[in-house]
Amino acid sequence: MIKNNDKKIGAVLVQGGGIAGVQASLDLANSGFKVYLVERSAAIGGMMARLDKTFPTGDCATCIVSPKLVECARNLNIEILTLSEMTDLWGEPGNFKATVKIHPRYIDDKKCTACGDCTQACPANILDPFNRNLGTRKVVAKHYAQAVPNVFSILKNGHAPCKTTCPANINVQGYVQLIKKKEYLKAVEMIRRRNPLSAICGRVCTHPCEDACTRKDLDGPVAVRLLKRFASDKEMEMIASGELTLPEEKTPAPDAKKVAVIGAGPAGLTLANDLADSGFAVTIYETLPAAGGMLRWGIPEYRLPKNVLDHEIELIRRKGVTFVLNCRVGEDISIKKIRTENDAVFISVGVHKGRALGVEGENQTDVLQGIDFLRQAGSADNKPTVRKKVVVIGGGNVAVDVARTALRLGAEYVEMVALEQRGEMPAYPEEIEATLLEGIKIRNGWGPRRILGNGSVAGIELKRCIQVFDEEGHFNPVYDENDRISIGADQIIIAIGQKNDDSFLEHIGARTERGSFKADPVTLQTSIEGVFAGGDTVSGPASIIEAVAAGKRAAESIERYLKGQDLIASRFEETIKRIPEELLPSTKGVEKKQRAASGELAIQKRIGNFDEVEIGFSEEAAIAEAERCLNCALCSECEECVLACGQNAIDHKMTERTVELDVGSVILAPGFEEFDAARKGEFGYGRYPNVVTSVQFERMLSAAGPFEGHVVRLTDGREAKRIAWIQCVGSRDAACGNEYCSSICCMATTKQAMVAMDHVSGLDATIFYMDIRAHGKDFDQYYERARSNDNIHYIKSIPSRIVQMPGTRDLRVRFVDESGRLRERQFDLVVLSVGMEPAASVRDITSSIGIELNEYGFCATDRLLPLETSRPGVFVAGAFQEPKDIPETVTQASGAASKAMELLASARNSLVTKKVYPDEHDVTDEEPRIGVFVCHCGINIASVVDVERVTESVAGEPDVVMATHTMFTCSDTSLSNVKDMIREHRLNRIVVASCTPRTHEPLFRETLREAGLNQYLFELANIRDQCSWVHSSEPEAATEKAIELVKMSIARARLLEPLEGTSLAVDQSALVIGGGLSGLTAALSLAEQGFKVHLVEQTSALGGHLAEIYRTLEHDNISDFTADLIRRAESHSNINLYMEADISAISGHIGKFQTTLSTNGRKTEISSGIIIVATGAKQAETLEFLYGQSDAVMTQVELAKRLHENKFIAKGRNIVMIQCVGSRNDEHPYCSRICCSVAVKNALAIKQQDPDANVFVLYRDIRTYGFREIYYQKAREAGVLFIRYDRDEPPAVSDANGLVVKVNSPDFPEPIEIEADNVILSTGIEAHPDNKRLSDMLKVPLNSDGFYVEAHMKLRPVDFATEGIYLCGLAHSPKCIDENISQARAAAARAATVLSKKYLDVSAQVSYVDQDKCISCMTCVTVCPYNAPFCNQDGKAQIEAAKCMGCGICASECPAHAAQLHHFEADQFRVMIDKLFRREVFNNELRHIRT
Amino acid sequence: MKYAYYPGCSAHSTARDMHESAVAVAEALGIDLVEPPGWTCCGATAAHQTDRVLAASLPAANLLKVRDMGLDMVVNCAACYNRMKVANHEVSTDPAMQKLVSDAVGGDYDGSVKVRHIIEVLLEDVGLDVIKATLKRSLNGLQVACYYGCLLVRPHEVTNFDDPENPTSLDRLVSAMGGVSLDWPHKVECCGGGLSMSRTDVVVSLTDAIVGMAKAAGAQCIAVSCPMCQINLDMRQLDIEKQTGTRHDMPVLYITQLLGLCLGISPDELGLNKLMVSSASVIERLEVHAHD
Repeated sequence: MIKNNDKKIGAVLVQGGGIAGVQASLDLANSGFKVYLVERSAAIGGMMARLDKTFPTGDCATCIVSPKLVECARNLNIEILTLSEMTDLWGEPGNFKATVKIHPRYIDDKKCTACGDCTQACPANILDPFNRNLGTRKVVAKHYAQAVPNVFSILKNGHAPCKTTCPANINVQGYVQLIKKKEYLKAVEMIRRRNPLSAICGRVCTHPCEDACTRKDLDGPVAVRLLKRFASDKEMEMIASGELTLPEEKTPAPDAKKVAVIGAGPAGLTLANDLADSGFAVTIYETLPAAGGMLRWGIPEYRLPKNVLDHEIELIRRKGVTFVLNCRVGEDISIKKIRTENDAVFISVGVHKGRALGVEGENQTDVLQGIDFLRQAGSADNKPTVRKKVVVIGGGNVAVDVARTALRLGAEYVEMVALEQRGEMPAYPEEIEATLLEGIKIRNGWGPRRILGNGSVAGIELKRCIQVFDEEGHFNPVYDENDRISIGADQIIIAIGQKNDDSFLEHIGARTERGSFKADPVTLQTSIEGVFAGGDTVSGPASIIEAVAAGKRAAESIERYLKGQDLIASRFEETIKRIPEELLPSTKGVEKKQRAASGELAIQKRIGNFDEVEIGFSEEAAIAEAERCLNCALCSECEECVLACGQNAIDHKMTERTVELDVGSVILAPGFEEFDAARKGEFGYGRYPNVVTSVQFERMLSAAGPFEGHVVRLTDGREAKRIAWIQCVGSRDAACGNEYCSSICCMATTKQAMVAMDHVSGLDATIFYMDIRAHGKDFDQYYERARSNDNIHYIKSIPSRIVQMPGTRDLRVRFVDESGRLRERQFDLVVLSVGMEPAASVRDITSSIGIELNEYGFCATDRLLPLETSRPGVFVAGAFQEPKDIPETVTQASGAASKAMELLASARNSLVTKKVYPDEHDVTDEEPRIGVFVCHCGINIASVVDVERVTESVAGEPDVVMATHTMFTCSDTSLSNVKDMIREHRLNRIVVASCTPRTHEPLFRETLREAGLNQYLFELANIRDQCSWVHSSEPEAATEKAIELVKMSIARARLLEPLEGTSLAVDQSALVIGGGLSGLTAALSLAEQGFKVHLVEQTSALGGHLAEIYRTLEHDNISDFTADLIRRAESHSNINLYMEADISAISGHIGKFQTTLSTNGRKTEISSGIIIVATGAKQAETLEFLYGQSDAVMTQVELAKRLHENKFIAKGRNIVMIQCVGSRNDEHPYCSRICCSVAVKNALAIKQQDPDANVFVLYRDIRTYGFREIYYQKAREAGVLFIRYDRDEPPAVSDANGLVVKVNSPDFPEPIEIEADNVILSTGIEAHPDNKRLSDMLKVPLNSDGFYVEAHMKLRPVDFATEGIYLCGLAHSPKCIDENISQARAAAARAATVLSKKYLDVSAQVSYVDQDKCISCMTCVTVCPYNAPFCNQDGKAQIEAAKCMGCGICASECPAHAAQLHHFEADQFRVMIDKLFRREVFNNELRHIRT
Repeated sequence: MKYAYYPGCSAHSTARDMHESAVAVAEALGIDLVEPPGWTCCGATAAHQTDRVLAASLPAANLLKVRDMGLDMVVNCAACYNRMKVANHEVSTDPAMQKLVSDAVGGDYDGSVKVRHIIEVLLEDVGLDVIKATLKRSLNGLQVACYYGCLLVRPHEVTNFDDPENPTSLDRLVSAMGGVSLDWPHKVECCGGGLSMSRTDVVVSLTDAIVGMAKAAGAQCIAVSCPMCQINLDMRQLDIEKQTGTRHDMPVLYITQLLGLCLGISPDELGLNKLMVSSASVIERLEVHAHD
């Protein structure tokens, strides 16, 4: 026990924003603690927000969870940290320091108004993780429609492989997305940010990006280069057509620092471009008569037209770059002069000298260097002379260019000779292909030996090359000198590589290495101060894009150099990190789409000219191609969202940050992840599209899901008429390491089948299962209902394989039926009911904060301490503790909250804040002065509804003082404007026409309060959902409707009145009814928190059923536990015990209940603020199976007692256990939940005593849910025999010649007879017979089985509909010890939300009864679900405001219109209807109504 | 690329075509295959049903020979491959077994010789790029159902070959050859292997299902890599016709035969004349590669 002291921190960190985290947060915040709710994803809501309906009630999951989420967001004492996770925790219970890592949202949540304009602008569709990859979403989007907080977020994954592979790191994905959006100029602009040679590289880039494309191995990479060309060509077309003008010519500032560039190739041009952009004065010196370097003088025009080159050079020139042409540095100008006239120099002269072969005969005429040949061919005149028969030596791209150029210049026959085999040639495959197509022969595997001829070339002698590369892959050719051939030729052109001009290197004088400039690999600095070098001259011959990259790199260095900055620290390249392989999008299941083809000039049209061979994409092809992009990085950072956002809320540069929080306690509720169904390969998930998981099926059923509730096949969109569910996928399966049962799947599937029945007419549903585990309250009745449906078939079998049929893509399921025959059935859709696993990410958290996990990775807990982790002060709730369903999760969450409350009781209310508002301005005697604010909601409303017209049309309405329209009424600035307007125009009624009150009414009401107006003087007209959204295609009608809606709201606003809630003193003590496990636990929890508790027990002993239980399944000692519990309760100073007490009367309401007790005939009056009902249940009795007639027949409870007292001798005996005795039948239609586990426990005890004893368990379904399943497995391993029987054929026990049990099992061909030494009956649990009497006193309901009915089965499992009364333990329904402990604590936590307050606020939105009009019919008393109306001393109805929930049922039922609901008064609606039907209400009549 | 090549008994008898095509393809791709001198039976089908130690020792005796050669062992027959892998697995994970086996084979064997199927060598060591560049012909869109059977992929923790439920190794080779590899559901369905002789009736119904499914999926031929699969699928088509009246006429080729054809090797050299169902339709379909 941790002693409370004053150093404790009254704050709790809750990790996990699912329903468990939300419930724990609400309970804590509502009872005086500060809460940090930390959630990994972008919104709270967890798995529940993904579900369609809940079982067994059929509520819409989102509808019931949403209000809780909104409540969390509104609670001042809950701070929601999304995209966050706790990473460390130090300190001790009561005083922890927690580290929380917050991942960037890339959107400022303070500025985002959730208008959705960014989503509309975003071009990138990605698979929607919320919908489990069914359907797509935009990269920037809301996590889901009802997401809380109501803020968008951007998903990023790092940098795509195309970008990281590109030497210049061009944002490939970004411009591909822009092309998809037809934003061609933006695309080119994005390319040019990293590469000024967009149109050029669109033609001749080596596109390493395409080799890295994730799509490559699926159906070919995205045609990135051609897309780049397409966008660039669009720009040129627009300039040509005059649609776009060339940018203004710029000149550098007179004082700009000067940079000289030597060599106008791609590296020099890129550097000049960047430095000119940065404001430097750049001069390029070029030897040749035109700029471009190898682009102009090395690449033939049929690949790169000169006008394209000229265009991009012109763009660079216009930035203020000076070109000095025909100027050879070293000859025409000295390097010294350049260095003295400039602040920095960049050398990018390229490599323009061809390498010689070094063979005999090379010095003849007509032996040319390829690079010289191409340079000459590139000049306008002075084309080289080409002979008839040309042999080109070399297998690289230059050789190919030479060969194809020679052909175009008139050669009759061109042959290439390459050392390499075809597959090894360094030239690009597509170039080789084109070469062959043009009729050029390629001779592979030969090297030149000597050139034949006598002064003029006659031919060439070749030798066989047997190996080009050595073992290490280095170029190191080996020849067979004896294998030779000679071929005739008139001209030999050598293209085997280029090198630097040595004389130039010498002239510069910088350090060189192997014939190249030596430059620092990071900064490209040479050995000379202020001189940098890059491109081929440093690297040796490389690609254009590598030269561009060198130019970029050097530009960054020179800029830093000239600004005196560090050249190395945090350079651009460091920011580019590749996405880890495992995060790349999977191509599994991606539909194959052929790469778009570009056209080519016909072969016969190519000869004799240099027309461009490649024809670019058509617009259609380009867009189709852009759509193939898989968006590997998720967000492409195209920044369209930045432009679209009217609030400047988007910031792509946001980074991860860490915060430290002081908290007293931590609750872990990280939830679960569903099992990865692909791990069960036999079911073909991920391979067969019509196989989906149960979570996907939930999204399919959901009206808000990707198919809007249509149950369809993914292959053809056809409605699925035959659906199979396969249970236990990833549960109860040792093969995948998950031996436990996931507890919820049987019911979830049953519900899915039932719901699907409503969606698909004539649905044929088949459920393959092992045991149906419908062990929860009212579950079995639901299951029986499903089972009795003729169209739902339950088959006890787990299929071995699914086969997808060719053609139809139907799924053939193979299974062994109950008679042991192999069968196959075909289905349209198969749903894999996937089990629960702890989230993989949780392991990191738990290992860093030191939380023990069990062998399956769930939080290790003890059955008797179900809420405690291995670290004191850290508590656990929800599926992370053990697989469980929603009510148990909610219960456990409240239970964990109570643990934190106990620990931190002394610090309660120390950190909570209460907002202080200005005094409210009294408006009672004022005429209405209405301000109307019509919202554009970005383009959400304004793109359909004419907002200006709406504003004008309503400005003249009666009492409207001002009307205006705003871009985002809910933005911070607009809200302060509303406050200013209230002051300026003395407004006393506000109407906002905008989105939905569901999300925004609280915000606007808050604004009114801050401006000193009563919050009820606000009215919202929903012109988004009801106008712009539903009538998006009819802007005119939508506008008319909006005008009408706003006018109606104005009419109502005139009648709005300020309302004040009252407050109610709370008696801060509790009454707990029942002294069993639950009552004791609840009482102790409240007592530990410092509240006075009155504990009332009917019998003379505390402990209830615990007296009859000795061990848990896990073997915990219950006797000791019970003794300790009773001792603590008896000795606790805050607990008053009333033994053998009978309750005779209860009256009052939340905050103040009066209870009359009689103990030994003495009456006692107890006053309490709340009541907890923990009255328990009783063991069911039976007269079946010879119970009471034979001593050898006993109940499990009796067996346990004998086993405990060592009075049961198992040795050599045959013991038959019969399950479901008197349960799951017409009399008791429910499952008692505990009996299977008890039978397993006792069977194991028998087997432990004597392994040779035979134990037979006759069962209907074994329901050892959660980790109890492990013991079921152990029992089978120990040799316990489990024999199934059907409800219709129960076993029979006879005692003619000793006990004989007969059972007819569906799993055995013949009936079985067992000679039994003992028969043990699992008799189950019955509701307590006194429940009826007590429930009448409490005015709370019982279900048909006699158990109490909670307020809401799923989300209010321990509350009654009547406030202030709580429920726990077996009185609620049968359950196990750990569950009772959690539930008792949950009741205590719920009670503490009331007891922690001295006063309770009573809502102003409550009903009242006009005493003059009341006719005393008491209809309201009858219809109210909360018992708020009562008959007062005048015989009239009156409302107990403390009990009223403001539902309005009384007001609608009252025949005399005497009952009315404040703020929803009949007249307020009448005027709206009058307005709608243009019925004028005269002012005086209005006056009358108002008074 | 040099490997010890374990042919196994089928290679010299019922699956001569498998052997011949593998050797021809290896030569064309510069793979040097050396038979370990004095190799002996791997014990497939019989030994593992009789004696666990014997079943591991027979392959181990061969692996020991290869260890001394200092090479990886390449196996073509899926059954031999499976036995070799099982032996390695047993010896390396169970010290008692290692001792028993070492005693039996008269040498200390620790399971260290790498056993590779020829498909693994083609994909991992030669590589699809080189194969593509060496091809002389294309499958020209031939629709191929690749059939893997069970021995290559199961048990996965032992063979560690591809994905046990949806392997794609053969499919990748077929695609590289210009064929269309079909995504069909019976890639690893049982063909009845060991029951070929004893329960022909079972094999006929199983192979009928497989060949029928391939046909339904649009296959123009089936590519296999296991001699048992090949025999069952190819030879039993006649029995299927007799029993069910359905004539499938589905050529069943070894992947090395298909590859050999694309490498320009003559059908006879590849043993195509040994198939029961004629492969003429496949050969006709091949297209002379544009490069040639």
